Amino acid sequence: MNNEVLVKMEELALVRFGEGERESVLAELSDVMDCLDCVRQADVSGAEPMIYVQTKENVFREDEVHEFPKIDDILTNAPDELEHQFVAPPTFD
Amino acid sequence: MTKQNALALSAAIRAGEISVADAAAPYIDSIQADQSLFASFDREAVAAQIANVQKRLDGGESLSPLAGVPVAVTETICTLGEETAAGSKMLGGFCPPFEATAAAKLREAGAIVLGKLKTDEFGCDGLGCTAPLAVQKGQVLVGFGCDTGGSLRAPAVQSGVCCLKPTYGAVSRAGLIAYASSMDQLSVFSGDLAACEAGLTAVAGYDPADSTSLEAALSPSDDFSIQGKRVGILKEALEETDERGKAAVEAAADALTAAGATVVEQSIPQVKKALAVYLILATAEASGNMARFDGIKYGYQTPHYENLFDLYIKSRSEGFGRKMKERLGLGSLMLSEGYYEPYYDKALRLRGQITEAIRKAFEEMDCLLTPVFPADVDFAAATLLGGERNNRLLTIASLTGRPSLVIPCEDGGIQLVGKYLQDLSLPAFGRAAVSERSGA
Repeated sequence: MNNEVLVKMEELALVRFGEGERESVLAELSDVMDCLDCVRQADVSGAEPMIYVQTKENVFREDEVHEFPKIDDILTNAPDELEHQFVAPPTFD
Repeated sequence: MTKQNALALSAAIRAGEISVADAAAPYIDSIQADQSLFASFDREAVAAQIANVQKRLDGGESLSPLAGVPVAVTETICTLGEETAAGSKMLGGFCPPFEATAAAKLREAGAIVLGKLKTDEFGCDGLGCTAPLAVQKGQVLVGFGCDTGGSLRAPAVQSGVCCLKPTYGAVSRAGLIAYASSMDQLSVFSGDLAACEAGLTAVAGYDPADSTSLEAALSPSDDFSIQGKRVGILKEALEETDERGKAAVEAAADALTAAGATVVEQSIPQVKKALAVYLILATAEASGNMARFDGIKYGYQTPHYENLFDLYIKSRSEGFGRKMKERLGLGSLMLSEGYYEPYYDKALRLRGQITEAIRKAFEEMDCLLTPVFPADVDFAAATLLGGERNNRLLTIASLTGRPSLVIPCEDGGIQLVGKYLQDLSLPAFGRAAVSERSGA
């Protein structure tokens, strides 16, 4: 665990740590990575990955119309909206 | 305030011996006097609920054993039109345009939802959660919140309250603000086991709005008897705990034996990696779930930004707390190139090994008994790892999707892990294990 990995984490998660906390964050995450080492070193030969505890697959439903919250109700939580659409800045300058 | 029995109170209400309003009054007054545990409390909305339930009773409607019982839900459970911020600045001011299925079921059952209890950020810190104190202080009789890896069970025991986490899929997650979707379960806490059982019964059941909801129902507990049941004491958990934890387990084992159960030691060495597996999978899932918080659709938006990505980064950096950012960073890293195979993929396979080992152990037993806290529990732990280490004995049920009941006792507490869909049998095991000490 080092600053390069921390920067990678920040880029992937779209968050930033404050300058004053980077050192302590690095120390904490370093402890976490030490804890996770037992997984990295584990022998899992022959074991299948278990994504869910259930054995359900392909949960489908009939293509029927159901009651759904109204657009106006959904938009009341938006910081900004225009003509029933969420407003966001452009993705390019 | 004298602690009341939830089911006895409801029985008195349904028999007409006391009105819904009179029953709720001391609880409302208590919250009015001290709202420190509540994120929201709307006296008018509560009064409307009370009037509605009384009208239904007066009309002859047959309501559940929770009718008229003062309950609360944590702020990770969406209730229509009521602020549900999940303890986070990132979701501050969010008023859901929908109701969680479990919340709707509570209203249908006639429970009086007095308000929303505060949680730590997204309810994942565990011992930082104060919600169960509302039961301990007598402000509500039953509470409902999310338990992912022990985040509700641990503070419940610390607060002297029981908590029942159901079989994964037994209670709908629709409207539950997600942290780690393969482990989140809406759980019930109360001062007595019968209320936990009634609470779980009220909210359980298949929900087509949740694709992980089980169609099979919980097995009823009416004919359940401890006689002849096999209880396994998890050897690896005893090795992790201290003398108090061992004493709690030994006392429970003695009581269960006296009640007619057979108690033996079970060794499942695979569980030693449960904490690490949980940390990898939970943070990875959370990193995906929290991607929805972008400052555009709801919640916090940074006031100053230059472009879209600047808005994302600043909103999330200012909106999430430090520990949540650590979780998101860690989880994102686990899913990235160079880390996915040695960590995430391996954790999935280890989860399978742990689950299979426990499944095999349950061929020889009906219930698994462990202490709640490890020897190095730190109730003041402020770091991410410190907090998760406190709950490591509780992650076993989370990873495997099994029901888990925790019960406080004078030596800390005990955990009972059950068979799939046999959730309602756990209170019976619990009553046999601690009845002489806690009056549960």
